[in-house]
Amino acid sequence: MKLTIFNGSPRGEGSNTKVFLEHFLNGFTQTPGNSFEAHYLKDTAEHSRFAGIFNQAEAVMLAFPLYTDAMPGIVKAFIEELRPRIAAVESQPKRVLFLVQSGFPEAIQIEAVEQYLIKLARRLCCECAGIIVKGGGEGIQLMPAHVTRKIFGQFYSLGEIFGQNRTLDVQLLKKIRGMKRFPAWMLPGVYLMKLTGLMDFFWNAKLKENNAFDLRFDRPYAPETMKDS
Amino acid sequence: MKALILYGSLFEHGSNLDVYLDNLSQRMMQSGWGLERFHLAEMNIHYCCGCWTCWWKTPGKCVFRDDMEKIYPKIVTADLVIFTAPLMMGFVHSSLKKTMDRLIPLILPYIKIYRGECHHYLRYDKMPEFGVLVAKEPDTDQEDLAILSKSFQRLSLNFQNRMAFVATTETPYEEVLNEINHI
Repeated sequence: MKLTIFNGSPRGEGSNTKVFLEHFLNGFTQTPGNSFEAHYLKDTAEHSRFAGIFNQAEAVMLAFPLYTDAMPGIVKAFIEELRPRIAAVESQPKRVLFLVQSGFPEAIQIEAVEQYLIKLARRLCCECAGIIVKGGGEGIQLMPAHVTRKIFGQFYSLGEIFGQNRTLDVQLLKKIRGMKRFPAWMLPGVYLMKLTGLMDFFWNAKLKENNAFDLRFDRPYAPETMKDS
Repeated sequence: MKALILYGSLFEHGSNLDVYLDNLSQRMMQSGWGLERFHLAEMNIHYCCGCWTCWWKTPGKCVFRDDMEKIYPKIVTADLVIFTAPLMMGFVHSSLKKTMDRLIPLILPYIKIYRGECHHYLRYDKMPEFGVLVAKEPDTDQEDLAILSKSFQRLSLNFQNRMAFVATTETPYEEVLNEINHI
């Protein structure tokens, strides 16, 4: 099977989305005869050509990060490009699968776009092979190896099984998806303080690196600021 | 009271959405609202490139100094922002979606627990309320509208404000005005 990947991250080749995809594809290509090609939707000038490639593909994977509770603008623009081609797609039904990853740790943040993608597959007359939902993706490239090893192993196995039988393993999907929301007992707890504290530490380190720490609460567009400038 | 209309449409003047928006605007002005409308598809607005410059290099300012600079000061002083666009492939047109992506400078990178979930702290004291107005496609069904509504409810949760309404051009004006006049 040949899998055609459309990476919808605005960060393109430097994206967290690509990191997750790589591990999935390493597993996928373990089966002899399996191959893939990847296209980057950040090249918006190429969307029309990409839509043609989508049409001809045997199996397609659309992967993107969550942007303001939905797909990034570039992904929406690409989906619009597919519209005039739906009739053609219908003539050769294909499998599509999706990967959505978000910086937020809870799966509930992704559920609306997940429902959108299930409907989108129907709209495109494609068979939806499943949606990989991954929370906590921001910072994946900075996490220590012992943390990422497990996550990447899950993506590898998911890809390997998909490469063998063209289905996404339900148990693995569930593991990757993680919790829908924090359970009630966790809310006032130390765990969340540690989590938000860790994230604050990450942002503060970056702000300091850029000599912007003192400016972190700036309000450049507040009326009083606009008056001053 | 001030409302900002972010209008993402490629259609020429005279579409259903255009007519609805004109009629709604007129009624809002009669109730004392000041309105400003931006035609996003005609403006120079870059796609968010995910660089985080607005969070960790020039806090609050996007790396792209484009027409969004006209929109940001209006958002932080408005009482209501109406996101409006025709639905295309089941969701708002990309010219509106890319503008929504560019709202990130209005929040801080820091996370807090809000209503039991992770959400960002706001950069400004308060956010205006949100409203959504769409024109249906020929194949739009209840499921599409439910998904749209859910997605925008999430957006509103992330900006910690009230979603005043999610309407289509078939929603009676009175229904929308009723919600708007609660603001």
